[in-house]
Amino acid sequence: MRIHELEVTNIRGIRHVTLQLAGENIVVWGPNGSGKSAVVDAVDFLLRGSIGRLEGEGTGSISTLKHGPHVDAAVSSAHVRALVSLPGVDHPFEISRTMGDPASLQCSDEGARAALEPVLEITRQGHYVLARREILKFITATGGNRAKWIQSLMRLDSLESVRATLVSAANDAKKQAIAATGVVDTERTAFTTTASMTGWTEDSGLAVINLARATLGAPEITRLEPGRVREGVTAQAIAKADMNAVRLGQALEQMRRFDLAELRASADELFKAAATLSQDVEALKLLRRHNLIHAGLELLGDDGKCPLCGAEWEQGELEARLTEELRLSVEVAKKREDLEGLVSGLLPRAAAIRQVFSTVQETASPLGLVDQESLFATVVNNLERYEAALGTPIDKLTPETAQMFGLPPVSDEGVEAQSMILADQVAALTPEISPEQAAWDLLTRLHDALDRVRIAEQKVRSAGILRTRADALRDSYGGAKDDVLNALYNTIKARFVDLYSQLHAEDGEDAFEALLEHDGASLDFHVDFYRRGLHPPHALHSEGHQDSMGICLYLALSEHVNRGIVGVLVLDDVVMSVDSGHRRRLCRVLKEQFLDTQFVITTHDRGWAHQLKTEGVVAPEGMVQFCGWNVDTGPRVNELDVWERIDNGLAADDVRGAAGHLRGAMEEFFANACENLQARVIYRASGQYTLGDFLPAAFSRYSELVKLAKASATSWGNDEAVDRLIETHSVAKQCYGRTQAEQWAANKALHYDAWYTLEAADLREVVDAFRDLCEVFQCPDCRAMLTVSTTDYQPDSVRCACKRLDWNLVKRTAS
Amino acid sequence: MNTEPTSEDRIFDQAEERLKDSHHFDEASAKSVVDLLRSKAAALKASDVLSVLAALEDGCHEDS
Repeated sequence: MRIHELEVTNIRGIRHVTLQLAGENIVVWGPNGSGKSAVVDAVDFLLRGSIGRLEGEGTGSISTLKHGPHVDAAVSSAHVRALVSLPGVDHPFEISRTMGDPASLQCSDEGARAALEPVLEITRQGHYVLARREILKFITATGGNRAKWIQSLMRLDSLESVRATLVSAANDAKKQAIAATGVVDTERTAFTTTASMTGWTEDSGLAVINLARATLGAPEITRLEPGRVREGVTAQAIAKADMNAVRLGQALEQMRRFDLAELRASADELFKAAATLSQDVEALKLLRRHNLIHAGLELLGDDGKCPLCGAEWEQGELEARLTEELRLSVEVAKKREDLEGLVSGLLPRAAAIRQVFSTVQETASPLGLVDQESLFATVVNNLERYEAALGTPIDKLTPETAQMFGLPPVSDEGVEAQSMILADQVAALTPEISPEQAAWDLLTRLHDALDRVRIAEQKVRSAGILRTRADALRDSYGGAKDDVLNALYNTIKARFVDLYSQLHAEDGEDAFEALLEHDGASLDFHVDFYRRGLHPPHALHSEGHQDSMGICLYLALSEHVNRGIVGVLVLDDVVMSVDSGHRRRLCRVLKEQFLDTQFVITTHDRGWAHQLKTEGVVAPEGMVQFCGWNVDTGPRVNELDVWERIDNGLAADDVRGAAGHLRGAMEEFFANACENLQARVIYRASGQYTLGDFLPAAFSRYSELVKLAKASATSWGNDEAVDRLIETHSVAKQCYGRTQAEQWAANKALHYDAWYTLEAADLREVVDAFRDLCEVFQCPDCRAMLTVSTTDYQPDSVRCACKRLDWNLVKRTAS
Repeated sequence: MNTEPTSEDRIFDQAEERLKDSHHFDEASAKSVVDLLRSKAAALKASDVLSVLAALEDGCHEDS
């Protein structure tokens, strides 16, 4: 996308401004508080419907709708309009948005909306605006925050969310598998209780069943399957009421065999230990940390970083600290282990008792023993709650849950008395039943119990498969995510290193290296420091270098994020700590490597603004000066080129104003020329340089370089180049001579200060001479200033940005 | 305009391949699971995942 025109009305500090961008780069410059950043906010609002710096973390009660409109303007009167063009849409069209309806982007050409949508999808992430505060996010953020932020702007934040969900699903599947195993244990206990076995084995089960089958004259079975338990057995007629009495009698007999005193003792021991631990808040806290510390130690890598948050620690320091914490929690961890041992011993016994009591309850009711049925129903219910309570994780114990660890009454006087009553009733009710009838009843009950065991076992298998699949899915997705992201980060890192090396090759950072590595939920960023190893970017590098790194990382990421779709990048005052030389190299990077990008640049720094022009990043018509801001009117916009301002001054007979503009512009122009051509300027400790310092030095160096170029062209036998250089130098000398022609008018050392004393017609001649001389230092096509390039600190050529002007300085060597 | 697959697409494609290679999923199962991840993305819930995994044919795990 390209922006051709931008109209901002009542947004932030702007009342009304229309900027003509013509699809090209633009620099908005002016002093602090002149409304420059409101242009950035306006573009942001237009493309996203909100203003990034008024939203999100740290903005508190500030919001786009409350603080986006000009302070004196109604929300409905705040709006932004732009004329834009898009590839695939054959003509520019308008888009606009108003604060009164921020969610709605108006588009003058509905047919273009489909082509606009991919642009808006990307701009919603906001990664077309870089401000100084964002640079810090790249550089000083923790690994976790950097990953979160970068993944968010690359629209990859859902990846981490998916990964976390898959981890959660795998954990749930694991819990389901463990729970299913518990159900199998319970059902096997029920089977063994019914079969009067001491413990579950397939062989013991078969033996009990075959004994009953033998009683009924049926052959042995060799596989313990529900369908075979009664296979080939003749059903025995038995009255249900009679059978209930028989089963009740058997259950009461089993009750008598329980060692309830021993069960009570174990339960008391568990209850006391749990009650004590539940009162010890510190121990429980320590216990909860124990697992985390243990896992942390296992995950601790060689780099010594915290595996949870990615924080940097001195080598071995975190490990020592965690080991000490683990040592402190060993004692309480042992207590937990003891408690868990008691629980696992109690649970199956409680389940077995409940099973028998349940039989008593079920058989007492049809026999009309209502009081006893009610009592045993209560006991069964209590036991069920007791078993559930024993499942409470030990480190989640509270005094209330610990109370539940006390065994409910299963052998108190009430139970005992009612059991005796039941025994008497059973003796009276139990009919004489044949061994065949008893065997049939046993086989029937074992069939049902075995059926439940097999169903529970099938659930364990299913839960196991589910767990395996959930683990495989978690691992497959996690592995793919790590692979793809690391490849992506490697590409971005390579581009970052390339860009940063171009900016800092002359600082001895030509062998610069960096590391951008995805590590779980963290993104590590380390950079080389003068071949002394990799360090965090804000550890050793200067603030200026950090800013360079932030800009380079942003540009590298932009290429990936914008994918050639957005085409507009906004740089909001981002070179504050970058010096002039590095800004010049940044200009070249922007101009030469981001040909398909339209930059909207704001700066308070007049020097940087003009450097952008002289380096050819911004054309003269792309220079927009904001000045004279006040709250009522917003900024005054000065889009005129310096020569137009001078011409206007002269036309209005404002010699002093025109002379001032000329003086300021020429000092800046020839200061840049000295830097670009590596001219020798007499050093002043005060740092107070004037045009009298820069102009002669720049022209002298220019002449010297022309001579070098001529000598080189001669050595290569390039007569055409020699002739061209002679003519160029002749024009240059003539222009330079004209700029010095009015020296008679004042003291030579001060004559540039005396322009304001000239008549308008005399100053016009000076202006024309300087304008022509400036042309000598610039390319007529790309408007960039001539610049010396070097190899091993030796000048090898003089070029403009587009290389239409390209003087070779290296002579042919004798072969 | 850039029409290369996004990183997200690459991750899903690679995850699908890895699932097939794990032998716990056949081709159709791997595709249906990854389709779920693609369609729900950030709105994905653990219960969605477990429902889809539980509903898969059992056959594809037997060779593991």
